Amino acid sequence: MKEEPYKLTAHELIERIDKKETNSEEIIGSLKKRIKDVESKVRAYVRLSNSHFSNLTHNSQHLKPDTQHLRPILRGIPVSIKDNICTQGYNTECCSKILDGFKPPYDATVIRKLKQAGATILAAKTNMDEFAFGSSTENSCYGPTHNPWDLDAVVGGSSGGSAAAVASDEAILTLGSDTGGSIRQPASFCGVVGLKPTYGRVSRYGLIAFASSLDQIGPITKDVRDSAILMNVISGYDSFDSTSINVDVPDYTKSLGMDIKGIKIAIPNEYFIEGLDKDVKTIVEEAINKLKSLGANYKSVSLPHTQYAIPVYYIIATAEASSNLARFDGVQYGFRAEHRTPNTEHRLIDMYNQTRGEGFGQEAKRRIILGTFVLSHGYYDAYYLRALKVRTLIKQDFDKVFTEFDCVVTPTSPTAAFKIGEKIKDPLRMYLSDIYTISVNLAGIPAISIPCGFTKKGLPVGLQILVKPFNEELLFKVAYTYEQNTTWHSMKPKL
Amino acid sequence: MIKNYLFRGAGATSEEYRFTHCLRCEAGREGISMAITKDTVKYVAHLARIDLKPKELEKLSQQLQEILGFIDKLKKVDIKDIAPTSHILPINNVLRDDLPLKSLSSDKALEDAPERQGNFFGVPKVIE
Repeated sequence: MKEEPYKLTAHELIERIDKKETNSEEIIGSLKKRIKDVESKVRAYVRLSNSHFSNLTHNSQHLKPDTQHLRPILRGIPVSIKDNICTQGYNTECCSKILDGFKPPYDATVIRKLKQAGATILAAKTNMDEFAFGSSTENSCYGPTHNPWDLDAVVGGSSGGSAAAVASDEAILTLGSDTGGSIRQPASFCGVVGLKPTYGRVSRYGLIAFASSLDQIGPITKDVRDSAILMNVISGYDSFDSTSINVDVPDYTKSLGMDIKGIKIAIPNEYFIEGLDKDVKTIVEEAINKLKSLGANYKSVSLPHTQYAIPVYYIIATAEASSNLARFDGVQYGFRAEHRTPNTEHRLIDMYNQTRGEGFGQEAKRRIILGTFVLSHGYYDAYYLRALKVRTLIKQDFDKVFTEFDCVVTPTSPTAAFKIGEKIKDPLRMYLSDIYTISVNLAGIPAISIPCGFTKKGLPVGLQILVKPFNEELLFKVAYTYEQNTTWHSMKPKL
Repeated sequence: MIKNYLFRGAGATSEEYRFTHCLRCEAGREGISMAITKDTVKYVAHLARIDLKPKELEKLSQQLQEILGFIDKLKKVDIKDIAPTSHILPINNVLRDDLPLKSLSSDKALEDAPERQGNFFGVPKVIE
């Protein structure tokens, strides 16, 4: 085989494996070499042992595939996993000090499904903002990941490590998680494909929870076909996740047709106002025109409650986070603070306070305290309950649009990747960069970000497509058609 | 009445109940929008069982003040007759059959324990 395996997509590798031109050992070897070559610049992975790379892989257990949708379709191809998805016996720490040394005693459902499908799960996890709190991967206790397109720029977050690894060819397939845009925004910053499934489509069992009513695991991949392949594997009802929905999983690769004639696209006015970078706006408008030239029709619409999405999100998500992170107290796993004042009796409450004070990073503390505040007596009605009601209005905005239109198209982010250090000191400014992705999680609908161009500074721009719940097939159809009629997905950064 | 959010392992102290009453009075007097003072942050951090250093407390109070100021724009929304969305999916009360199933063994559950004592997690004393 002429090309280096690490450069290829999973579907190209599957083809070559079937033709006996390569095999999973060769692919993993090629990937290891690529990681050795560029990882010091990108830092997409964490806890990677430099000298040996001995912890890089572990064998997938080839369980008997069940008769429904799971078959060994991944042929031993390596999959890289975000640090908040539990892999039995291998460190899963959410890039936080408070989970230092944590080795889950069980596999997340998506990991079990990947193994049943024949994947090789990489033991080294990808970098992320601590507990998924962030939009730049600067909140990781291991430091930031660097954007392969501009090493001084952020990769986005919180699934920044996964997105960067795909962009730099340090990974073939990856999983990330998305609560407010954490798959789509890094995908757009790194010029790769990121999909957030419908809430309930993919099991959250084994995903270390941030906000239980918003979180979803999803694929970050080199192209749309790889995303469909991964979605086939990870989707489906799971009795271990009481928020997973019992709806059949279609073969998403069958949606990768070429015909989008007559597809009705809604362009929301509120996503094209001041604050949207001019370069990004031009590029996204060109992409919309491209979709038109391929047969789709578009029209402007209003999503009137868009301006309230960020406040609603930062109330609901932080409230849920404050509850979900209550378990990190030094009792059962992870970091436990040393008794610091030896002449006094060490009380349990001191252990809690000190463990959480030392173990959590700044953003984690900020969010937990904000979340606790909005749930507290006297403020619950004014903040949390009010936010839940405005969430209904935001969802209704989408419901109305989907009665007339097939999909909504927007930029994924108001800007391309900003510089490392640029926004980290201003939390509110960082929060505002989530404006185009956040409503999607509040409404529970699926969305994909695909590369659609580059700014004048050579940074990738993402196009976001949204559809109504459980309509990922249409998402794949539109995304694939656009992708196959452009060349963005085949461009690689110079590393 | 929504109870104060309490973490397991430590009950509400009489101090907490007194503070709650004061906050409620103040909120009633001045209306809903109350500035998030350093004392409020200190108290909420105590509820959340997080030790904050003085510099952290200072910085956090400023930042939270700003964030809450931004969040306050939600007050403008007309939410009359709007039901809250707690669950985005139309499913609830998801139960399974009441049959005993395999669960995590004690050994597995204690594998990552910072301190293990027999079949228990060892922790410092709970002292009032």
